Amino acid sequence: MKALWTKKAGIITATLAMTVGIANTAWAAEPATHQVTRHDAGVVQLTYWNMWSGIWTKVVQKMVDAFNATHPGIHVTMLSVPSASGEQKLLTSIAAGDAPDVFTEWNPYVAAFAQEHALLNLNQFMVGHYAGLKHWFYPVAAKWGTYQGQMYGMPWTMNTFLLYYNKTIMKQSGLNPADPPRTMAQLWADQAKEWRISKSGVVSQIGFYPSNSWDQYMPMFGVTAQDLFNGSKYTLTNPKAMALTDFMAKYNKYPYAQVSAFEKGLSGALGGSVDPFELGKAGFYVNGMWEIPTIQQFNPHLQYGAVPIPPAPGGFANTSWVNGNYNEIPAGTKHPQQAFEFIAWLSGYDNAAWAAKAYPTGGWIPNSPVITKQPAYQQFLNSDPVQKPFVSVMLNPHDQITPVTPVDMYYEQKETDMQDYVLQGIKTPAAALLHWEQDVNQQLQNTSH
Amino acid sequence: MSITHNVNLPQKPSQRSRASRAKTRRNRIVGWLFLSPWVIGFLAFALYPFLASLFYSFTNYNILSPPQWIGLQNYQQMVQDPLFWQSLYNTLYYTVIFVPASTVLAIAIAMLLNQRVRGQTIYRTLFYLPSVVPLVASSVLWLWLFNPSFGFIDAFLRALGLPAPGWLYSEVWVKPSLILMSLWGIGQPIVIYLAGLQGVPQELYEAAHLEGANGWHRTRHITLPMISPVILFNVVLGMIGAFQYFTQAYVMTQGGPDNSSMFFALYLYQNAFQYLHLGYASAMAWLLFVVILIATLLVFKSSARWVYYGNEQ
Repeated sequence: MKALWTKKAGIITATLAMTVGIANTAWAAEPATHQVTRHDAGVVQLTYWNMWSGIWTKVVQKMVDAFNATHPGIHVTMLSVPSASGEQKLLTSIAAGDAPDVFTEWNPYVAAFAQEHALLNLNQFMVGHYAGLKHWFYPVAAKWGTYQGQMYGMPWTMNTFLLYYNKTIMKQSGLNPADPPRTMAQLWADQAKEWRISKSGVVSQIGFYPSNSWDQYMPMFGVTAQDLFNGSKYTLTNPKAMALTDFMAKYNKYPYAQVSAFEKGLSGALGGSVDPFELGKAGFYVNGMWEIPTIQQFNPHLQYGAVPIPPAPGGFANTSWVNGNYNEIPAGTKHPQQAFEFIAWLSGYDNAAWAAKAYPTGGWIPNSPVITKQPAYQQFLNSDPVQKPFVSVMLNPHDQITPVTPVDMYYEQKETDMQDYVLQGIKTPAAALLHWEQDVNQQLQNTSH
Repeated sequence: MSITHNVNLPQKPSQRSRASRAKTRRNRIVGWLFLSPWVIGFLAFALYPFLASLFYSFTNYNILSPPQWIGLQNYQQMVQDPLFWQSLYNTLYYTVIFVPASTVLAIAIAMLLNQRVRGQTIYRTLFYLPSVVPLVASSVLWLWLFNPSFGFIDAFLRALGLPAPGWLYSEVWVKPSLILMSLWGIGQPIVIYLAGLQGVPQELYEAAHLEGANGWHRTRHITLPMISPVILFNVVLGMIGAFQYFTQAYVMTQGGPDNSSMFFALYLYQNAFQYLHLGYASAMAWLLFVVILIATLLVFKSSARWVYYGNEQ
């Protein structure tokens, strides 16, 4: 009897322990979110995911809180997912039928997801009160989130890219800081005077090095998205793309390994968000407007300016390649209308005055000229004259984006390889472009249904 | 333990047999109940994904749409994919160099740590410590050490007037850099070899010493044969781990420069989660499984020639 009791007690104990263990695991797996929950009857609960972290999480959370405060019938709960695995988390949640209601995307996945019907077509909601959204955005902003003529990613905050120049290094190199480069030829000549490389090959100062994305130089060489993709396949070996790649190839005279190490080493030293320009170690640098608050944080005494990237012959002046943050509504959401209301509000539609005050908190460029013209945003621009050209280039009809295709992510990955080949002199520009073109077209073929 | 009260009462043979079977059945049920958490976990999180990936390897699957059966196309595509061959080469390069190097180094260090010297415990701790540092943290640390501009290693080499390679930023040096980093973290095999060394009977060494054997003879004919089962264990585990090398490449190089550190597992990951080619990635996973299986079987087959289990004549 005692033995029977002992055995039964053991089974019951084990079962209870397992149950408690599983319950604890499930509870512990709940994401740590900023919770301002309201479970009143009739309040629609929305889940919103983004990939921001650190101070950006707080900036975006304030925006979500502002929406919740002004929309009593909807409550949005925000979750910050790791940026390295954000899309994987979104994919698995869509596959599991448990996707968030809204997701902010900054990687080129819009077309890949849209092709698989994983995102809602936002055009269906742009009726009635929201019909004006079709013409709300800067034309180039709308393009990035549009696939086959339909919008799947609503533009939220935009990025443009200009050429920063270090006035102190220019003076030290015998250049006139009041005369930053206005052409690619001048940039090439000026930056050559600014390099500092020791006899043992150690880089201590960079003039200019095109280590950022090849796409960012598209408008400067007159390259358009239509030049690169003709609707059915990539056509990367065109003369304008070749000219752009030839420009990059000139820089293979500088030691690739040492320059990469210099740039990444400085970045790694301070948590990955600092580049050589911010630390006063680069004469010229292409980057977005977010560089400005980082300079203010890490090197407030830096003497610098920013101008549109100078054009090459045949290229366009005062333009920029554009990307940004886009809000998507995954398929399967239970509250598509409310989700659309949320992302339309974030985009500043109906509340441009709020957006004009909120966007500068993230150092972001508006998606619409209506927001740019608001007094609050103009005040922000006037507070630092360096900021103005980042926004003024948004009006240029020659602004460009990367072609929107289902293999955009693969295209970008292979673009990095192509740049590496060219900057190291391993392949000629023609061979590198051809390799890239064949690679992405093969991928496009593998992906098509 | 018996749960009957009437064990001492006389029973007919059929009654005893029935009672015995009932008892066995009860014990079996209890055993399965205790095993069930592990079994459920194994079925749900190991066996099912294992078999599912085999199915997906014959499909075009991007997780967003249902898988479409395409037969052997993924495997055919692998053969024609230059980056597949590059990743396989990079992984084999790493495995063929790292596994033997780590084996020799770990045995040598274990033999040193087996010496009775002052501070033995401190030395053992120091050699083991790197293996408890999380991989991601150690990757960030080594990013610094290997930096040609700011890193300690190149600064030291330059101070000695020696050439300072580009390490992780050089196509030629990136794989040796990662191998060096991995050799820094061989604390676990060292500890296992140390345990093996301490199991070698001292009488053998004494007898050999009396016979005039020197240090090398004792190592060659006593130590190594006696710890050969441990060597086999570590070689197999090391090989399996080397074939699946991923974290350091993902954190430190992302496969660059020029795919010279694009390892098989990293390329598999990119295909699965960046390019949304889960079918192709599943095919790669199964190929990796077969390669590891064949390599392991070859090592086991060869072990008949060099592993000594102590009870052999």
